[in-house]
Amino acid sequence: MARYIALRTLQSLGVVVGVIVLTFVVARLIPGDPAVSYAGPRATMDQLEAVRQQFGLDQSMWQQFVSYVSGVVRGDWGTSLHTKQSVISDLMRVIPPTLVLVAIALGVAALIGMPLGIFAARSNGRLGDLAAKMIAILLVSLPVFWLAILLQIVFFSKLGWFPVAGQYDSALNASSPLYGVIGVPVVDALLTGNLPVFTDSLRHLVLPVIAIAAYPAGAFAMVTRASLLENLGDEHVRMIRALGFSELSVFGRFALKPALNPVIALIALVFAYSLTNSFIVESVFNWPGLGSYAIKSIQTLDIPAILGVTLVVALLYVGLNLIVDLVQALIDPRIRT
Amino acid sequence: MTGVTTTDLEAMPTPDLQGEARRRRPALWPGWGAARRVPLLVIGVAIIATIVLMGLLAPWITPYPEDAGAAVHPAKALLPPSSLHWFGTDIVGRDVFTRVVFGARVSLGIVLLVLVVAAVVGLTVGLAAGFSGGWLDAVFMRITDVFLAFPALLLAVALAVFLSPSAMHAALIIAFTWWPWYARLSRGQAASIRSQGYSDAARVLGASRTRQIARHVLPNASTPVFVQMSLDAAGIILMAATLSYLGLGAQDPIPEWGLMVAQGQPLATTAWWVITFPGLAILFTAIAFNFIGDGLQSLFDPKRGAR
Repeated sequence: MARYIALRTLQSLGVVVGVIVLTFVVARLIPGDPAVSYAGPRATMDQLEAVRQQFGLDQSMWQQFVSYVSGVVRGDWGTSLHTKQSVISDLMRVIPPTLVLVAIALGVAALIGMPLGIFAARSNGRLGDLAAKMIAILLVSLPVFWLAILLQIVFFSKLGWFPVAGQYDSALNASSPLYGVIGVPVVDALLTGNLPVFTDSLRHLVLPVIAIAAYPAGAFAMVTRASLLENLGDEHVRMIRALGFSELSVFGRFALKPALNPVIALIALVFAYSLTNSFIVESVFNWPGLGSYAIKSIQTLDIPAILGVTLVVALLYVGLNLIVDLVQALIDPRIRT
Repeated sequence: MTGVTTTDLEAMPTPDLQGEARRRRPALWPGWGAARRVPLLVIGVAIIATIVLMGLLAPWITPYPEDAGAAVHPAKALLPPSSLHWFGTDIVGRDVFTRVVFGARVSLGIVLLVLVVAAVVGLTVGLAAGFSGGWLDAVFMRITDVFLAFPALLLAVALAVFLSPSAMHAALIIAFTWWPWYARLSRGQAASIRSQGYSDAARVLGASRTRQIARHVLPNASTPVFVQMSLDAAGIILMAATLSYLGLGAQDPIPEWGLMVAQGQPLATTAWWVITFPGLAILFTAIAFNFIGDGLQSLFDPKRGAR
C-alpha cells in the first residue's frame, strides 16, 4: 500500500509539472505584446520598457519560464488586471463559496442519482428501468446555462419562491450580524448559530444547487445502475442468492458495496464537470465565487487571472483524482498493484 | 512454422474477401433483431436523422430563410409565437423557428468536425503508443495525462480566450481537448491486441507494421472508439453551445443555439420564446445522441447494458 501511495503521488506531481508547463505555453501563445496590453495603447516607449523589465519580458524564454515556475511555487501568481489585487489572494477569497456550492450540489446529486440507479437496476429491463434511464438521460442532456436561466425565470420572476442573487440577504445583518469564519455565509451562519442568516442562505442555495446537481445526478444514476447490474451477474452474488439469503441482503450487503467503486471513481470526474458548470451557474445567479471571477476575467481578457483560475482548477482536479484513487485502493485491494 | 497453431492460422486474414466481409459483419452490424432489443437506439437514430434532414433542407422548409442571416425587421421584433411565427421572433424581428432549424447545420457540423478530428488524432496517437510500447508509449501517455488534468470545458475556455471567436475555432478547440480520451481508449485496445495470438502470427509471418496496424489493430480497436464517439456527441453539443453562450464560439448573425440563448437572456422574463426553443433544440439533440450512445453501448458491451 505504501508503495502504491508513493507511486501514485509521484505520478500526480509529474502531472502538476505538466500542467504548469502547459499554462506557460498557453500564456505565450497569446497573440500580441503582453506589455502593450498591460500598459495600454497610449503608453510611451519608456513606459513599455519599464513594464517589460517589471515583468521580465525582456529576458529569454528560458529565464521567463524559470521565473514563472518559481513564481507559481512561491505563490506569486501575478496581479489581476481587473481587481488590481494579487491573483492568489483573489483566488483564496473566491474558492470557498464555490467549493461549498459544488459540494452541496454533488451531495444532493448523489442522494438523488444513486437511489435512482439502484431502483433502475432492481427493475432491470422492465418499465421502471426504462423510466429511470429516461430521467437520467434527460438530466445529463440539459444545457446548464439554459437550465439556470429557466429556473431563474420560473421560480424567481414568475413564482417568486426563491431568491436569485448572491449568498444571503445582507439586510439581515442589521438584526442578526454575521461573523466571518471561512467566508461562506451558509457555513459561517451554521458555525456561529445564526439561524435567520442560515435559513436565508439555504434559500439562496436552492436554485444554483439544482442547476449544478442535474448533470451529476444523472451520471450517478447511470453508473450506479450499470455497476450494480455487472455485480448482480457475478458468481459471488449468484452464490449468495442460491444459499437463500434475502433479496435485501443480496442487494445491500453483497452487490451494492463492490458496485460502489466505479461510483467513487465518478466523483472526481463530475466534480470537474460541476466546477466548470459553476462558472455559468454562478454568473447567472450572481454567486460571488470562482465561477463569477472566471467569467469576469474572460470578459475583461484578464490573462493573469484566467491562468490563475486554470491552474487552480487543474490542481484541485489532480488532487481530488489522487484522493479518489487512494480511497479506491483502500476499498479494493486489487487496484494496489 | 512449427510454433503456429491451427487456431492462430484460422484467425489470420484470408484472401477470401467476401467471406471476410460476411464474418466481420456481426461486429459492426448486429442485425434488426438486436435493434429491437434497444428501442432507445432506434428512437435516437430517428431523431438525429430527422434533425439532419431538417438542417439539410432548411432553406426550403423554413418560412423566412433570409432570417438565418443578418436580416433585421424592427417592426416584427419580439412577437410571441403565432401561426405566422411558430416560435415567435427575436429582438431584431428574425423568425426564431427559421433560426432554430438552420442552427442544426451549425451544431451538427461542429459535432462532426470535432469527432472526426479528435478520433483521427486520438486513434493515431493511441495506436502508435500502444503498438510500439516503450518510451514512445510512456511519453504519449504522460502528455495525455496532462491534458486530462484539465476539465475539458475549462481548457476550452482558456484557449478560446486567445483565439478570435468563431464556430470553426470552437470546434477545433473542443477537438483539441477531446483527443486524449480516444488516445487512452485506443492505446489500451492496441496494447491488448498486440499480445493476442493472431497478432503474433501476423508478425511471425512477416507482415509489415503498416499491414499489422491496418489489418489487425485498427479494425479491432475501433469498435470501442465508435461507441465512445456516439456517447461523446451529446457532450460535444453541450460544450459547443456553452462556448457560444459565453461568446467564445459562433458569432452573430450565425444561428447557433447557444448563442441564441445568450442573445435572448436579457429579455428572457418577458420574451420567454427567444431562449426556450433554441434550448429545447440543444436538449433534444443531446438526448437523441445519448439514446444512440446508450443503445450502442448495450449492444456492444452487453454486460453493462440492459440484459
